[in-house]
Amino acid sequence: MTDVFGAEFLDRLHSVGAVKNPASFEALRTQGFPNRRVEAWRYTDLAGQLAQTLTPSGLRINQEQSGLFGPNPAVQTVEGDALSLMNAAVGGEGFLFEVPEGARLKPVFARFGPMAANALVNATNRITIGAGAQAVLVERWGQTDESWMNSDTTIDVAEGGHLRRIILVEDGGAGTQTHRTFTTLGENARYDALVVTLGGGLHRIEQHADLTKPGCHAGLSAIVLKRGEEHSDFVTNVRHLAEDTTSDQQVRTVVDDRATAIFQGGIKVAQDSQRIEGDQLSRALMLSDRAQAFTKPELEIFADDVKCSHGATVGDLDQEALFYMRARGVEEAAARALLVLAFAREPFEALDLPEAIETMLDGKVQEWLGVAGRFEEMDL
Amino acid sequence: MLEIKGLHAGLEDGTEILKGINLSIGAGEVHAIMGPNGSGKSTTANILSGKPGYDVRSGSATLEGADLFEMEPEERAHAGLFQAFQYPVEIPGVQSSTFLQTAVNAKRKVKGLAELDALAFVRELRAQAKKLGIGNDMLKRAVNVGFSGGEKKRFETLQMALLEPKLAVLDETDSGLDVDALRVVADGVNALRAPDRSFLVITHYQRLLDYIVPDYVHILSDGKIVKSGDKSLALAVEKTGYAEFEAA
Repeated sequence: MTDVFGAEFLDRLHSVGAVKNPASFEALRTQGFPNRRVEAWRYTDLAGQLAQTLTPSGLRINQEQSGLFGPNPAVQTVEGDALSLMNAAVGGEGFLFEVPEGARLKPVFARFGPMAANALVNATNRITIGAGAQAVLVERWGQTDESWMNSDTTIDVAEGGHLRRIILVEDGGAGTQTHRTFTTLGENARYDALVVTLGGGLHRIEQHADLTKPGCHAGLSAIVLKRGEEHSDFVTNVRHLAEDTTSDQQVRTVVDDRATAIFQGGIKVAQDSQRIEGDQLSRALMLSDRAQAFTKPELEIFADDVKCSHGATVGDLDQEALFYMRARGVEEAAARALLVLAFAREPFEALDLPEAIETMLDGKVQEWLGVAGRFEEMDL
Repeated sequence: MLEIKGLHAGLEDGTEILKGINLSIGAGEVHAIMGPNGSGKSTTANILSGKPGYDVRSGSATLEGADLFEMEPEERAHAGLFQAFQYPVEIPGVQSSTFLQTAVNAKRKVKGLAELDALAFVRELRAQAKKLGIGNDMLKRAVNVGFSGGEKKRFETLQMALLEPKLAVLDETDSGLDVDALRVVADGVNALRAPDRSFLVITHYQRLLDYIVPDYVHILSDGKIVKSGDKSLALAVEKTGYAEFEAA
């Protein structure tokens, strides 16, 4: 039984005693990892990751606010995605973040990693937002080299709750980050997620959201900045399972050099889910002829009273705007940076983020552009 | 200040638009170029500022002796050229004040001056903006986004005031302005008139020249200056139209 994709990788895991849940492992060993013939993985090849010899390692949480994160056990499952099965098989413990009913938290910052080179970290996380509670959670994943972080996060937002979640995925080296989130939203609940992915070897971030009760909303957005040989695959899957639900997906991608960025954006509207609004807009900026950007909208609509929109553009910087700024004496590099910065921060709008977080994210983008601290919004 | 000699130029696709322009503008002078649509007025402005898409075939243009055609657009700006655009571009997401500070500091850096920090810049910005009736709300918005026609032209004038050019080229600054807005912009321009600053005012209509009074008027027709004179020439054009000045 060596024919499945990644079999040798799994055998190595087994031989170092990493398997904690044999049933999950057997299920994974039988199904193997998804290869590029699997539609959802046609743009992303895990062969390089599976050729590595990695050392299983626990999740390290560096949190600024102590006491907010508890441990969360791995699940025992024999079903689902191969990467979730891997997480289950090695018993990847993660974090538990619970916000009690009615609570309003100040923004919470947590950092996962850094860790040793050649580490394989699996984490099973759980976030619960009580009824009417509000929270802003900023998670920073990565800053690792030649390692692989793989996580599953389950989120429940109860009636009237609101979670704004920033997932900053960054790597100093050629790390691999595969993270999946499964969110369930109650009546009038909101989940606004913004994934910011920069650096790294291969990033695949999945956001699944089930809108199960009327009045709830999911915003699943991303800012993807890639250069060199970096690879990003951002996947969304919004399921409108109740009437009067809304969703919004704003994806802004900037690719330079030979980088590749993929957006697979799913909106599904179940039969009988009426009065649905689902918006999706993907815009990609190509800074090099050899960079690649793919957008694959997947809309499945089985109800009648539905307003769904999707749009995708791929282009270069606005040459007219570039000239306008240069004609005012702004050097070309600075003009380009200003335009990329403006483009990248478009998804900020919908989130209405606390200023400190916007400034932090702005700083990350400016750092990526090599113009750190150069431009700041002015207090007038 | 500006010397244009034997300028033949056109679009990159080969279309010839300017067919031998000669123009000399002295320090402190205000020159107007008038002409019918398609005569090459905007092309003249765009070629001077280095807008992509145009091609210089022959001839020269120098600003205080420096060859403009050898410079990148930003270098022309640093050398003292300023084009007030007919259609200022909207730049979503770039805050007007940030853009202005970046432009002002880029020029200061080239001139060997210390860059202005946000505090010092805001003070200067507020003072200049106030004169043009530009409020903080406009400066907080993205460059030209959501600006009315009049606001865009006032914003162009504000940029001119901050960048202190040696030669300002005003391309159809009157287009899209009502009389009140025109007066505000013209007052702003007139306040910037100085012995060491020259203006090239490009317009289709004489009306603008009632407000920004030129020392010299040139009629451009089919890519050539066919007649030059003083401000009375503009009035003559207003009466008779451009037909009698058409190039043979």
